[in-house]
Order: sequence, then C-alpha cells, then structure tokens
Amino acid sequence: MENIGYDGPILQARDLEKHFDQNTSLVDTLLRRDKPDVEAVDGVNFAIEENDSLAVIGESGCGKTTLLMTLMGLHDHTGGEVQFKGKPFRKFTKSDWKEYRRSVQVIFQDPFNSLDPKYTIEEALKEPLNIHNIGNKDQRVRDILNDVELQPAEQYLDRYPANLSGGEKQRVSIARALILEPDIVLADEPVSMLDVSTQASVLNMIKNLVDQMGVGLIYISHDLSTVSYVTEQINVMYLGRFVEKAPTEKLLDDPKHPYSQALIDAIPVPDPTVDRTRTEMSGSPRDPIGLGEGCRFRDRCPESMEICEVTPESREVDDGHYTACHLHYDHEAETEDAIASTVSADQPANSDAD
Amino acid sequence: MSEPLLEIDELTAQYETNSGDLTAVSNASFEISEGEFYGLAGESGSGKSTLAKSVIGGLDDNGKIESGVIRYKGQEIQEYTEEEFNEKLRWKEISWIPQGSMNSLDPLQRVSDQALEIAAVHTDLSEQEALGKFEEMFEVVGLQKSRIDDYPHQFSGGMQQRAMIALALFLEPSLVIADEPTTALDVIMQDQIFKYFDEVKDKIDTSLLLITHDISVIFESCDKVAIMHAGQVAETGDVVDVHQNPRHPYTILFKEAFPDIRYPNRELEIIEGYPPQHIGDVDYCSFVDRCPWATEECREGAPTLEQAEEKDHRAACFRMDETARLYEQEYESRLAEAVGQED
Repeated sequence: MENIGYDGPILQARDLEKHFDQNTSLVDTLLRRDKPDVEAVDGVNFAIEENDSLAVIGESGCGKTTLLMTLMGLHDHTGGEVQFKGKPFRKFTKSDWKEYRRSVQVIFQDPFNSLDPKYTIEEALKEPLNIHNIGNKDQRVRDILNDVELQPAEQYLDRYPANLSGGEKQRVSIARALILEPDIVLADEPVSMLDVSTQASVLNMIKNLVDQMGVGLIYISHDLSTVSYVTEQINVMYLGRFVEKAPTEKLLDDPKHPYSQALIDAIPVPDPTVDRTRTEMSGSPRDPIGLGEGCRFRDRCPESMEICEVTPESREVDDGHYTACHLHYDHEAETEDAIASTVSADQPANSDAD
Repeated sequence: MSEPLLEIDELTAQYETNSGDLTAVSNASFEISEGEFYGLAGESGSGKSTLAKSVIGGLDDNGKIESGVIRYKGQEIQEYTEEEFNEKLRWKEISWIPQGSMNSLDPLQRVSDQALEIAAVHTDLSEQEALGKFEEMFEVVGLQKSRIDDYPHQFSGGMQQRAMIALALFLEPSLVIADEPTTALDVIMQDQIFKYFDEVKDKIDTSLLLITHDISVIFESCDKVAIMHAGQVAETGDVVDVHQNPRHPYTILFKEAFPDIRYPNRELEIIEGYPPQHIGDVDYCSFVDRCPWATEECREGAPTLEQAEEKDHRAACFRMDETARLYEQEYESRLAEAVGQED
C-alpha cells in the first residue's frame, strides 16, 4: 500500500452505493419479471482523517450496518468507490487487502457473541498479532489490557469470555481492535448492550483511546444521546442516504433536515419537570426497495412539498453543516434546471414505449 | 388514602440453583394506586423482571416466593390457586406485555383469533362483542381496525408491539405490567408507543407497571418510580421528588450516569463494579461495594426504606440525610481537581 506523497483523507467514500438483488424465483425468471433492487446504501460520501471522529446515526433498517460491512470489504459495493490512502478498492491487490484489514478494525455491537468462547483473553488478543506477524506479543498484550483498564493484566490473561461481565468483554473487544494500532476503527453500536453504569466508562474509554492513539473513528449507532459524547461530527442516515452532516453541537442545537429534527425531538429527556411534546411522526420507514426518484423522507415528512418528488442534493447551509433538503436551498435558481433535466431524461424512454 | 391497587410487602423471591438459593428480589416493598403509572428501574440483574413475574404468578419453575406478601385489591395473590388466578385475574384484571413482546404473538394465528381465544377463556362476551371491543383497542393504539384479521408477520415490529399492547388492554384490566416494552425499538417508534400509553391513561382508567433500565422514559411517562439494585429497592417516590432530591447513592449516580441530550458536554457518572449475586438471605446493603460513601454499618445490616421529607418518598440508606451533601462535596473536589490539572 505504497502511496508516497499522498496527504488526503485516510478513508474516503464517494457516491458509495450498495444494492442487493432480491431472490427471483423460477417463475419470475420465466415470466421475465424483474424485481427491483434493495437500495441499502445509496450515494454516500464522507472522508475521514486520523484523529477524526464521525458518527453515522439512523433507525434500524436505514443501511448503517450495510455501510459498515461495505467499508470493511465484506460486501462488494455496486457503485461509487471507497478509497484507502488514495487507492480505490477495485485496485487493491491481495496484500493491499491484508494491509487494509490491519489498518481498519471493527468493534462489534454484541460483546457477548463476538469473542470466541474457546479462546482465552490472551489467545484472542494474540491471534491478530500472529496473523500479521507482529513481534513482542507478550508486551503488547499487557500494554493494551492496561490501556483498556483491565488491570492487573495478569488476572485477565488466562480467563475465558464466559468469566467476564458484559463491560469487561466489550473492553476486550476494544483491546482486540486496537492491538494492531489501526488507522481507523469502525464501531457498531459498541455500548447498546451494556448497562448505563458501564456504558459511560466504555464511552469515555473509546473517546480517550481514539484521542491518544490518533485513530480515526467511525461510530455507528441509533442512539443520538450517546453518540454526542464521543464524536465531533454526525451524519444522519435515512433509507440509505446521508440527509444531514454537521458538527455534533450544531446538529443538536439546530438540526436542519426535518428527519434530524424528528429524531432529536423524540429522545426522552431524563427530567420529569420538562414537558416534551411527543413525536408527530407516524409509521416507520418503508422498505428500501424500488425507491425511485425523490426525497426518501417525503412520505413521512411534515413539510413535504411538490418539489420533494425530485431528489434533493446536499447543500452547505452553514459552516461545515450540510443537508439534503428542499427547504434549505434556493429553488428558483436550481430546481428549474433539475426538473428540466429529469423531463428531458424521461422523454426518450416515453417515445420508445410508444 | 384509599386502598392501593397493588401492594408488594417485604417480598423475597429466590431461584433454586446448584449452588444454593439465589435471591433475586430481597425484601422489596412498594405500592401502586389506581390509575397510576409506576416505573420500576434498575440495571440488568437487579430483579425487576423477577418481581413482575411474581406478581402475575409467572416465575420460572425453579423460582419461588420465599417470604412476603403481594396484595391485589386487598387480596393476597399467593392464596389463589392456579385455576382461580386464571379465572379471576389474568388478562381481566392484570395483563402482561412481556419483554421482546414482538415475538410474543402466535405467528400461526390471526391477531383477532388470539383476542377471541382470550375472550372465550376469560369472559362470556359473544364473538361479535369481543371483536367489536378489540377493534376499539386497535384504534386506541393507532392501528387500523380493518387489520385485526392480519397475521403477526404482516405487521412491522412497532405495529406488532402495538398489537400486543392492544391485546393487553383488550379486557380493560386494572393493571398492565409492561416489561421493557420499547427497548428494541428506535427512538421515534418508542415515542409513538408512549404517545399511545398517554392516550390509554386519558381514556381508560388503568394502572401501568413499567419495567425498564431507561430512567429517562420513566421520568417522562410515569407518576411514581422505584429504583432497584441487586434485588433490593433502593428508593421509591414521586418522579419529581426522586429526580430533584434523590437520597440513595445509587439513585444519585444512576441518574447522573444517564446521557442527557440537552447537555452533550456533561461528564457522565460511572458506577464502579457490578451488582452482586446473593445466595441465601441478604443481610447487608447490596450497593456497599460500589458505593463511594459506604461505612461499616452498611455491611452489618440491610437498610430498610425510611421516609424522606416529601410524602411517599422513601429511601433505603443509612446515610440518606447526608448523601446530597456528600455528592456535592465529591463533585466540587472533582471540579477543583480538573481545574488544577488544566493549570
């Protein structure tokens, strides 16, 4: 992975798209019935540098986990590209992939099922070192256990995951992710299975470790209230697309996209003297199948307009604050072009049909 | 004050295990009045689900009520035989929304058939009347009444949850017990569900026992709260009193450990350690090893719930009169330390 002189973002996604085929039955094939794709991730853009931290939040089914799997290379993307240190996935050689898998590590949601029950903690932590031929194993294992506050390390080395509590298991998962000194850590809801009393300590630890080790963090969650403690930037995802991107405090204070607003307004406030109004929104997101043109939130949006049938583009509304919503850009100037172009794109198709 | 609807009096519940009797609930007491929304909060393993299961007579086979009394409308629940319990209480008087209730509907039966079955066993309503009533409940929870004949898989997760709530409310019980009804759901869906609970409170005169680890939901939606730690009830009272003037160290720390979207920069409290598991009787404060202000006294005997200043506000802590001051001192010294470090 030599890319001398490259000084752009470490990991970058451009118009990243991951569509899944639906199962087609024999009858469908015989009748030449095409089923539309499942559009799990569609047109996602971001860039992350060392020391950066960004969150992706959204409801279940919005494509967060598919995005993570695609970034790990476990799903092949169907469009756009992912670049690591300037080199796109499609140009990766086998050794590039190995290097990538050392540099990009994952912390999974469920610490109860993501550790091998038959490996001691020491074996679990040494496994990645063995795979990547990294020496000085004993010292590294001890150091990392200290870093994740499993002290004294000797007490933990010979234990099995079954002998650890949920919080301790999650610390082992974090240690396993960090032991290879990665450039990027992808965390998929790392605290959602933990109790509140341990949640805070794991959150603080992730935050401190990322700061100290100069690691880039992508944090995926459905829970805005914990995300805000960890990351500097938040991306709000709805049905496969990023609808808003902003620095954490700006997003919480002044969300622009109606979906972000609804998401923030629905978070319970732990104070009985505050009288929060319940959400106005009804229903749940539809299936990401055959979504077609237009804003994907328009069927639930309280501010839905005619123009929402046209897919809104992401626009900067404030310093570092982007949103893809028709409420936030100048329609007179921009949308005329957009409509004109969609109409002309439709035209030939229609005349063919005739 | 009128007689409470549900009264739990010094209840101890245990599970038989290979290593002895595991005490899941220890000497717990609280009461729920008619029409009241009552929250039961605590970490996993605090005994909240065991307590609720004791109320509906649904403990696992190795579980038993060791001592104490549960009274429903003045009647001791333990005195009922299984048959009487089914006939008089279940669904009709006390209904139950189990944890993960999306998976609690029978996948092979239409939702309406499940309602009819309940009606046939517990009431003498005709099929027509029962369906009419079930349709009403469907509307209360925001589902179209034309969909009562659907199978569970035809609903989304949130709708299944609501269908389950409709079933629980179907025979207009006086008490609904909901065990983590929204834990697996997204915030927007959670808020929608509680919107329907609010409506239930307005339209149907029912009490709710809401069991959850999410104290913010209780603070928002309930009238009263009980905080449990490792089987013991640490504090009970009006949500406002418990929020404004918590007396038990666990309540103080638990509350401050909770992220609040209004203050994203606030330090979150961390409670060291884990709730202990007890074999046999518990004769000390279960929070002692995690408590920053524990004394010898806390190991020598279990504190009982004592009256705090406000009406109905009780805490089980030997130092309940000092805790607020102790926390403030600790907080200030921590602030001073942080400032010192910055210099």
